[in-house]
Amino acid sequence: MKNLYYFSLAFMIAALASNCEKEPPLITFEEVYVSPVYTQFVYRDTGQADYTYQEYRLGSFLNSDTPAYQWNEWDKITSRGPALLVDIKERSVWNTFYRFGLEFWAAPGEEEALWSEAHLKRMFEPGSVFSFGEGPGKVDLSFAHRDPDFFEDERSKATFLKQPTGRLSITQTEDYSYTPPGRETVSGVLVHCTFEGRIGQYDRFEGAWLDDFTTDTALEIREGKATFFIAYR
Amino acid sequence: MKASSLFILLVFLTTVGLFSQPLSFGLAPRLVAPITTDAQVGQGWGLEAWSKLEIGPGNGVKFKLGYQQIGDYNSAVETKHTYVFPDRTIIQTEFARIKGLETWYMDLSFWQFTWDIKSPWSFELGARYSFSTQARGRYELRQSLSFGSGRFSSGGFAEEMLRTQDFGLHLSGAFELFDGCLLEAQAYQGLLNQWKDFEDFEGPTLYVTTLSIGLAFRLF
Repeated sequence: MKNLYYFSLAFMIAALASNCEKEPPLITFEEVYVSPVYTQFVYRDTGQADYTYQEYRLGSFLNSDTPAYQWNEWDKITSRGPALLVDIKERSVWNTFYRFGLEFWAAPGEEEALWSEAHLKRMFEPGSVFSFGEGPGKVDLSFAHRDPDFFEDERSKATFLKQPTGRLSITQTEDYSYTPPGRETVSGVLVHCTFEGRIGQYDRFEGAWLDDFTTDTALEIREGKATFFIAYR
Repeated sequence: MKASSLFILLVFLTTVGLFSQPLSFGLAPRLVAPITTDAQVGQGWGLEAWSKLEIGPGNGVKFKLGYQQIGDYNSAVETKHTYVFPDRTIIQTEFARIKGLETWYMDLSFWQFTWDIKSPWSFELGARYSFSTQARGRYELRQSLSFGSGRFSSGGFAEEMLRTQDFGLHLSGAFELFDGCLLEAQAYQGLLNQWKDFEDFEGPTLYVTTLSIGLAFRLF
């Protein structure tokens, strides 16, 4: 019994000694998570000799003085059929500016439920190609390359051209999900793609806000690469 | 609720024991000095009901049910998680600082007179299970959603950050001042960190170490 007492005494002394160890009065931990979505390309305006590099990267505002960009995606029914839209907006406390967007039309004859996992994986199967334009199996690419002076939305669009030229190729897809704290998990697919072509330039004096606006003035887009997220419906 | 059930059990054991073995029952108020991190000495108090059963000449077991409050801790953690998802940015900050702990405990120990049965000195070695532990201190959870989607904060110590139980050992020495009253001194060491484990990093530690002194009164 005495041995047990001695052992306990030694244990208590060791415990007291261990409590003399220093610990910071405040332990801090910081972690940043950024979803891997981005868009980058070069473009050339009419009369320009050189291409200008443009990049929209999610979370870039954390490490640089670039604005905060936000990706939104939604679906709608258009006169050309059901369409899926992905757009990038520049966000600040006071303003929102449209910057870049893709509008995909579902190809006809697909049996799966619209925008379901099976449908999206079939629609964005690696190797598939969407021509610039409007209607089933096509994509309309839009890009607001100038800061708006009078209007919030001054996007140039592929479909502003009488004969849109260009294509978007799907290179890879992968399942992806994220869980906002305290909310349900959002599951979907990350779509990796490349694109290039010509888009019709917005003209604020020629009625570009009208539905039937067309132009021959084009912006050339090259070396486009993007990864965007679509949630399963 | 738990504490009242245990109290009834204690009384029951005492009552049953009265008809079998030499058994006594009493109360022990205590002054408690927690040894906080950085070897600071804090303040606290405790009160326990005890039941003592003699097994052999000069030794036996003791069961205690107690409540304890200890303070002057200064152990804190702050986490900041920034989530940039495609359609929203969420910044979640959580801050918690433990200034004190209050807990209920059950205690089972073996006691023995030091030299002989007539000695006023006795020793005690035992194990303690603490439960329903609560922390006193500041707690804040802030979550801000970017682009005007809202923001909230909350007070009250989060159960998720605190371990509500502890298990530890103690060693006591007692001197009988007069018949029915002992002066007791005790050292206790808890074995579980009272902060819960953090998944992504090594958080703060708070192991309960206390020195205490008190009087144990025998009521019957």
